Amino acid sequence: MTEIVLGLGLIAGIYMAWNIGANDIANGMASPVAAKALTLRQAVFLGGILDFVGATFIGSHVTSTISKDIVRTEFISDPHTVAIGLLAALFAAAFWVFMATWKQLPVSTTHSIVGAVVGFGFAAGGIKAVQWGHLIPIVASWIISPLFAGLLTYVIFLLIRSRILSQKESFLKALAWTPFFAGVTFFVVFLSLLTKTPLGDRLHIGFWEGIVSSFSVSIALGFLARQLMKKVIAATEEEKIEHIFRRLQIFTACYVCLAHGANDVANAIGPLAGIYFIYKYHTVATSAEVPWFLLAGGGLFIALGVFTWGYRVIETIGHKITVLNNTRGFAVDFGTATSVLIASKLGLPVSTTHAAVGSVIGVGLSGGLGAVDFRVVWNITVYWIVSLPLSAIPTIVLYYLFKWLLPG
Amino acid sequence: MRTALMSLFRKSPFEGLIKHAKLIGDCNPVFRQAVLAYLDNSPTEFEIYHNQVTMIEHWGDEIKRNIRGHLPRNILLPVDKFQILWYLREQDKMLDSIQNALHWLSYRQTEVPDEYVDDLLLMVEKVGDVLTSMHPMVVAADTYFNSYSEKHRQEVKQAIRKIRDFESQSDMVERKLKSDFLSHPFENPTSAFHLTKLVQYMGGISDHAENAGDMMRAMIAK
Repeated sequence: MTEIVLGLGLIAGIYMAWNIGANDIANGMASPVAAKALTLRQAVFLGGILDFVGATFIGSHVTSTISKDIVRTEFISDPHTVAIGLLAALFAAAFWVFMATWKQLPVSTTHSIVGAVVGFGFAAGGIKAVQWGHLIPIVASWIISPLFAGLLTYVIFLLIRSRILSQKESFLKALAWTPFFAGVTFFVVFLSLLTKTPLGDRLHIGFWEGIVSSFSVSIALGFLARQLMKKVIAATEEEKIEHIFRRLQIFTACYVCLAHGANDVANAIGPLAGIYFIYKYHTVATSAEVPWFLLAGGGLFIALGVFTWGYRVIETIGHKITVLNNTRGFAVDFGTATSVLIASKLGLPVSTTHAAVGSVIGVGLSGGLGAVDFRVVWNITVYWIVSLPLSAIPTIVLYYLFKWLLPG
Repeated sequence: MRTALMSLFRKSPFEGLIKHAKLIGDCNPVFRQAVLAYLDNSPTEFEIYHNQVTMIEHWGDEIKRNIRGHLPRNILLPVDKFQILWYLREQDKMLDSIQNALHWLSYRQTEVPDEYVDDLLLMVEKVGDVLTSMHPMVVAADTYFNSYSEKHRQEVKQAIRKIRDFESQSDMVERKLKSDFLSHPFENPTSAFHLTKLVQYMGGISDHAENAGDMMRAMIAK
């Protein structure tokens, strides 16, 4: 039976990875497409490639098999039960993300898999098997992520507006501020790569070493960016300013995709690695070594998700009126990436998806957008909350179904 | 995250305001032709233009309702929502006043004394200047709220100043015409009343334009 479980696990992992790509591509690429910084083709191509590179080359080789140690394994020690539970969790979470993508709702794939694992723990080991305390950070992130990102984006856009946009000789002002904005962007991206993805561990770079090296590189690149931006040729001052921020926005968006591949591949591969570990060693492990081919496979199917359904996701954005220009788009992307970095360094739980929603509201509050609909925020919040139970309940159903179909 | 993030965005009300202002500009030649047809004593021709204005006013109302209908309580805008709604009200009243002026004319065929025809046409011209000045102001304001550049802010202020100037010019002609009509020895005093009220409606067009300009000034205030 274990081969069947492994085979089904592989299918579920592929399905989950595909959904992660389809659902989350908009995290990085929605605003550049909406701001016409990238064409749809460019966004999908870049997003897919960077997701694949992030997952394959930066993704962690050691992953938590039972997301964030949500389940106490001492209550569920039977390897076959765990394998079936992880299989049910993968299928249920993937299906929930699929539904969310279909319904065009921004849900956190990480929270979906966590909800599914809670369902499995509850079904297999009862109420005591679930580390309920570990859910508190997740609930907190529904509030922390959008608030923190919104506040940061609000400040960033106000700064751009007051120091650049509303000044006379605004392009010269933009050039003068370029080292700052470009430098800070490079700093955030490099520091995130070194400290928020498994890349830093692999290069044996600590937090402070990461700060120092990122800072040095950022200063140099910030001034280099200014030299490059001087050559911008455009008809009006505003267009020139948009040019500067367009490049920074593309850079930030690319980073979000790369980091997404690196961090979120574990949502699909973690449970699969757990099933693979059980198949190979007939024992349960809370964390497992991930073979490179699983990472590459995860990255490949995330990229496929981007190319197939993610394409459609962003296409609908392309047809909409241009609601964002590059200065606003940069503020949104920068606010999202920076808040995720700072919050995670402060030990606060954040979700990129939730941060992005907060960032849009932040720009809206600072007067940067035509109109922002707060009712949609409420709908989105409801979906964040129901992510956990709507991943957990199908997992329980699937768990009992698999238990009946695949007795150990 | 998905396109739901994009559903956070709503259409800017300025899109509708620009369309509405464009309709106001489109009214100018039609209104002028209607008054000329009236002065030429051609009721059939007058009715054609009168109906055109009625149609334009109807489209304007549709746009106005659309803007209002898409500004529920939970929408966040770069400007105070009530300022926008007030502005829209004033801009829409311009169309109402044009329509009312023509409605009023249609009730009675009054002979305008020859010595006042030129002044009446001057009034129509001044009102026309006001009508055609609305669209550039709204477009400039929309650009400003997209760029926040000082240059565009000055352009909006310039457009508002223009409207104020035209309003004060039309005010002067309005006062003169009222005084003339009320002191003219018409055979039937209803004629004096009819023409005075007509001029008042025409003056109302400029007054509402000025009110709209003042509201716009408040919207772009730093």
